[in-house]
Amino acid sequence: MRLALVISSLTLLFSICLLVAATFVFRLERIRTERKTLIYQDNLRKLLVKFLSEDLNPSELARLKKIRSADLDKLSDSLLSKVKGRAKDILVSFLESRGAVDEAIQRTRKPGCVGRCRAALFLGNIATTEAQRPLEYMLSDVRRDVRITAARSLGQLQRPESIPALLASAEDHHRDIPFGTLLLAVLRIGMPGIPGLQTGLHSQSEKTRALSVEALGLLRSLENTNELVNMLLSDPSLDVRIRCARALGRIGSNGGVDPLISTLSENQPTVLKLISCGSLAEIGDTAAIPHLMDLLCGSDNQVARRAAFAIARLGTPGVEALHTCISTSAPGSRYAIEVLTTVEIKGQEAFQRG
Amino acid sequence: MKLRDKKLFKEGEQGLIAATLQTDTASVFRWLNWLGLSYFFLLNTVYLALILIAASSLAGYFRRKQFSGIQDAMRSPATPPVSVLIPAHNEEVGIVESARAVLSLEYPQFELIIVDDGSTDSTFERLRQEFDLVEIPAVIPDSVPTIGKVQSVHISRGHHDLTVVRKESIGRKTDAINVAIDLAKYPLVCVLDADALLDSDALIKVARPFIDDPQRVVATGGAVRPSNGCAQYRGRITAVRMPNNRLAQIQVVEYLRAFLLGRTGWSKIGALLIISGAFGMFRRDVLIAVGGYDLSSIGEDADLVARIHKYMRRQKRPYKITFVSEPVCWTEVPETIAALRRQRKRWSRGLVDTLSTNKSLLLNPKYGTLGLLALPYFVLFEVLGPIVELAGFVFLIAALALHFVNIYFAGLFFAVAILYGILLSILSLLVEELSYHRYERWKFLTQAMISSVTENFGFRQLHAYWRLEGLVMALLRRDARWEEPARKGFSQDQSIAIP
Repeated sequence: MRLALVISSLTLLFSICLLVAATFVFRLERIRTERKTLIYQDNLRKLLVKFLSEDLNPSELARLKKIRSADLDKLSDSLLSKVKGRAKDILVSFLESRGAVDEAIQRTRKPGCVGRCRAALFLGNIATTEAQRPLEYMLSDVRRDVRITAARSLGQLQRPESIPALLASAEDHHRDIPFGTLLLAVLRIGMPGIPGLQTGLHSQSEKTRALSVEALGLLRSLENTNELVNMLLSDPSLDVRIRCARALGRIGSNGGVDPLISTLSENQPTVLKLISCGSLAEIGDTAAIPHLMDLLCGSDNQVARRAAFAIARLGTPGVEALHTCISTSAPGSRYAIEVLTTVEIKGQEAFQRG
Repeated sequence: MKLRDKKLFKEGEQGLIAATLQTDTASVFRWLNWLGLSYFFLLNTVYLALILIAASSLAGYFRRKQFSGIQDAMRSPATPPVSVLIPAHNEEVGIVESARAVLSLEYPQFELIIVDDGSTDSTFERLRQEFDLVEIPAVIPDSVPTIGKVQSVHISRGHHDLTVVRKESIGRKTDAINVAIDLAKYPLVCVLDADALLDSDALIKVARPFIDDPQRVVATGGAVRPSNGCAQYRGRITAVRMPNNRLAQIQVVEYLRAFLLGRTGWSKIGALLIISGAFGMFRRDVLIAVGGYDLSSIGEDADLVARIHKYMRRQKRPYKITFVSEPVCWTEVPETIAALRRQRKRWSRGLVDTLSTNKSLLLNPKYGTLGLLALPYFVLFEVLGPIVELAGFVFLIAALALHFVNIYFAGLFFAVAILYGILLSILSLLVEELSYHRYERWKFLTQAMISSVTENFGFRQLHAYWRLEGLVMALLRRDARWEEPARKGFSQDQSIAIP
């Protein structure tokens, strides 16, 4: 017993002292490192900024070129995403002259998740053509963080050639990348990526079709209205149909009105009706009012409320329709009262902005 | 046999009986003391395991943090909008600051719904004046059950996304939250306490798991830290400080050990049972599917999470309930013994209530680590813990007084119960130092170190006693209602101005 007491007490006391000491030592070390890094990086940053503004004298330039520290690479890397135009070109050529791009490409295949992520981030920031292949390869990396960083960086390259790879990665269920990351990457590529996205509409994969539809809607791709209308009416996936309804609202083409109205019928899923109401309001075609009024007077409270808000967003004709609904004490009049009061408080313009 | 011999025999017999009795009593005492010792050893070892799991999880998180692309989530059109729900009852002291803080959060699209649950103070008046509220004839859907009658619904002229509901109180916070769930229009809902102050990026960080894995993540919880002593400006914490009050200082360490690291550990092994009512985010469709908060429940946060686990397992849908240690919600902790006692009794009462309601999960392999690890832990250490802890100390003192155990055993008991506890608290501080290091001044670190030691002498035993009171309340089925908040709010001297 005595031995057990002595051993346990001493062990615990020693561990406590060790942990206390470690806590204080770690804090001291952190403060020291931070100060040192701050001073060192501050000098480096000044030198680098001077270099980017082409103010360096030859001796300073020689000094900068001689520096072989990882800090300089890190700092240059961090500056990459902040500078533009001529300064960026100078920085990119400076980093290329230091072999930073080749080194990053090599790092994309090395073990160590953090190293690969950092390499992907760097390649995205530097945005050179040769970064495309390694980044596409990284979309199927075993580590999710690496895949996400690679997708984001591919977006930064803004090369429409990357669209097929991004869409294909949406199909991979085992090595998934969040939908939001892929969407943002595709959107960064912008209008040049639209042809690639059009091919995605015919994919077997539901996620790829959903991604293409969402992106085309956000890019307001007017030329794809018919394709989206067809998918709204016939796609086997409800998720894709919902996204089509939303996309048609964003595009705002009158060609979307009739198909959207057809999705308001009794046999359609509630969630689709809810989205279609919003999209019809966004398009702003008053032809939708009678159909929305039917929903307002329907039995589904959730849809009725949404329909009331959609009608009010259709401007004066919509507001008038709601007043009529109230005066006739139609079933949806309580929603009409709620909406009209809100319009009165917020003002029609603010209300229509949503 | 002579008379004298008979007498001697009788005396000897009695002595033998007395000696046997004493030996039996001594064995019972010794056995109980060993039981107490083993209990403390097991409890502290489980905590040690949780802290180590949490530390490894945090290390991974910090390595990946620089690539997390939080700004992308802010910009992405795929980031789902959120309805922030705040139930409030007599919260005049801090409600305006809380509302302001929420309205200035960094998040692409969100609305704020405050439910004034029968406040008798000027909670609503303050909101009305500050946000220019106007009544609307709103129609509230009945997606989840509610009892208290809604008196009025108000929207703000200035802030497009603020709704304030006034309702009759039934004495339950859950009823107020359910009304807000009914009114919420977005797919994610975030439930906050009325005195909660969030870091500006807290909402996007707690929503991040939903953005990354929208199919599987159904609920997330954020870390809660005590705001006492911190400086704030317009509802935002601007300087993290240790509170001056000793009781609050102890709670800083306790929150760090039990809530931050403990929950990170449980979350890592997929057995998170509690998402704090002060700061949790849920998928609205799942909330509606489980019927919202249970109106009869006292421990509403744990009860809800347990029901979500049950629902998702029954549906055979893959799901995740995650604790996110980075987003921080700052909340005022009690600074008086009486207030703290009330709070802890209520927590204990609620936990017992939740565990008894969801006992089908206990040791049920269908519920994986939750049923096989987390729930047994809660029953053994959280519900029965106070009995064993208090009995352990009482029996030890009695056994020492009666010389049934020697001083070495008492020393061993002290080492396992107290020193091991101190070790865990200090270890938590080290993990905090290596990860978030929120308390930057040396003075604060020293105060936290001292609290790690002092909490084991008095506070811990008192805490066990309060939990026992809660357990008794639960067994007697005493009701627990909305608590009157004993809040000071933030005085001017605590606030610092930001130019």
